[in-house]
Amino acid sequence: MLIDDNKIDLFIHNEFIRKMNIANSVMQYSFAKEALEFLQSNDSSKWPDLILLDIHMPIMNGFDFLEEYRELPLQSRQKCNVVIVSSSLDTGDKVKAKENAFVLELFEKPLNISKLMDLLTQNNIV
Amino acid sequence: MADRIKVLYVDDEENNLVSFRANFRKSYDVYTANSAAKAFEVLKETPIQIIISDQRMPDITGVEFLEQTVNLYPESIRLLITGQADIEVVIEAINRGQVSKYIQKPWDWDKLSVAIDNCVTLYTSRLELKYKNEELEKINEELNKFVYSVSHDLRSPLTSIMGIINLTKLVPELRTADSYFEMIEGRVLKLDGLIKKIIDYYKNARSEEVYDQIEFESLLTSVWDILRNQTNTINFKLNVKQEAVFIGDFYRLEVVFENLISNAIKYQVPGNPNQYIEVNATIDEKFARITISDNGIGVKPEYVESVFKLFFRAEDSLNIEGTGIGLYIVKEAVEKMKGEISIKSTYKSGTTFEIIIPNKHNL
Repeated sequence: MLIDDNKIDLFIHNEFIRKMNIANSVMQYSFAKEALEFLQSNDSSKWPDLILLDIHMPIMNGFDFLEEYRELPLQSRQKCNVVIVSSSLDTGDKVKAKENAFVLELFEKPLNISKLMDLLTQNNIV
Repeated sequence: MADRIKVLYVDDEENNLVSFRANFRKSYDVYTANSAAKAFEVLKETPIQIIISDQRMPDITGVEFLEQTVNLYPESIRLLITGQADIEVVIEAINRGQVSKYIQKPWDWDKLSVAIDNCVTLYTSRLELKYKNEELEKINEELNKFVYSVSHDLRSPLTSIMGIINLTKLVPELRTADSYFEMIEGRVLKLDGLIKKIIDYYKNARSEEVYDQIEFESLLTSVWDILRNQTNTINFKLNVKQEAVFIGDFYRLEVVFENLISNAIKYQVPGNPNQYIEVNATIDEKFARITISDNGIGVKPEYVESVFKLFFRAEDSLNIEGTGIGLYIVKEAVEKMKGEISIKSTYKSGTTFEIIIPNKHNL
């Protein structure tokens, strides 16, 4: 599941995932709220294994999303991994992201495909 | 001040209260009380700017009364009226900051009037300072948000461009255009580097200091981890001897090491099979001493003095991407931490930076 208000970045990340050949399907959301609604209304079988989450987004930003995410069923959350991908230089953002228990890793944009791949293999996600 | 100043006068002699009121009611809103207990009732009801008390009262001294108002009404100005005999008590009260002013008996109305005027000036200037400080804090906070949102908005399209360039590397048909994409990438990286440096500069220019416990081994390793993908030919040697707990400014140290190590990577001799960067750190109770050495291109003797200047680029470094900001920021950051930095360089054989940062532990 890709969540990013920037359409180009959604496209880039989707292409990366496609070329890495690691996903059966990719969901793309420009609004974190819509992504959240999907997770709220579906059981874990429909959940993604990986969420790439942007931080700076209008209406609901990445941190707001994570606040809501913690309320979702534990069983679903256990099979899902959240990776933040952001171009933020705010050290406050970085610290906040790393401290969040649901965040597996924080990557700076542009997303480095081999770093993502390493992370996914290390954590047995692919 | 649009509002009239409110003055409270506390004295056990009714006559004094009456004449005080008669004398000052034109200039101020006058409140009076003939005991400390009554005075506290007034203070509870009304915000009083200036509290005046006689020292000699039956149940409590003036100093004791004023002392009790300090924590409850810290912004008020306190004035004590006292006779010669109590002078020691007054001096102590003033030194402890409980009383701002005092007048000695015998006093006349003119003397008291001047003293109250002085209190008013003190009160208004303190208030003004408080407003100004609040205003500054607000502006600072807004600037903070502004800087980060501008930097994010500037970087966001750049990172998209870099992402697309990375994508092209996965498309075989686009291989023929690789050299063009490399040129685009180079320029984009340069602009991105400049934005990052501006943020570094801003982070460093801010006055606030944040102290953390620093583990140099992990700090330097994490800095290297960020930078290591810029090179695959350099042998990085790290020797840390940390013999004491070190308290320091984590972000400034990070900025310093990032810039110096990234420079050591950039200014290597191309094609040299023995490229190395050696970082030695010794930390004791008083100082952290760090040296960062390389066997890179070095700096010509005539330029060594200038490397820390803003926007300075040595002429033979011009073919290497740089902004001329990095070492300036490094020096500023080291100075903010009350430390020292020096450079020793031999042209064409290498450069060593030495940094000494005082340990804030036990200070």
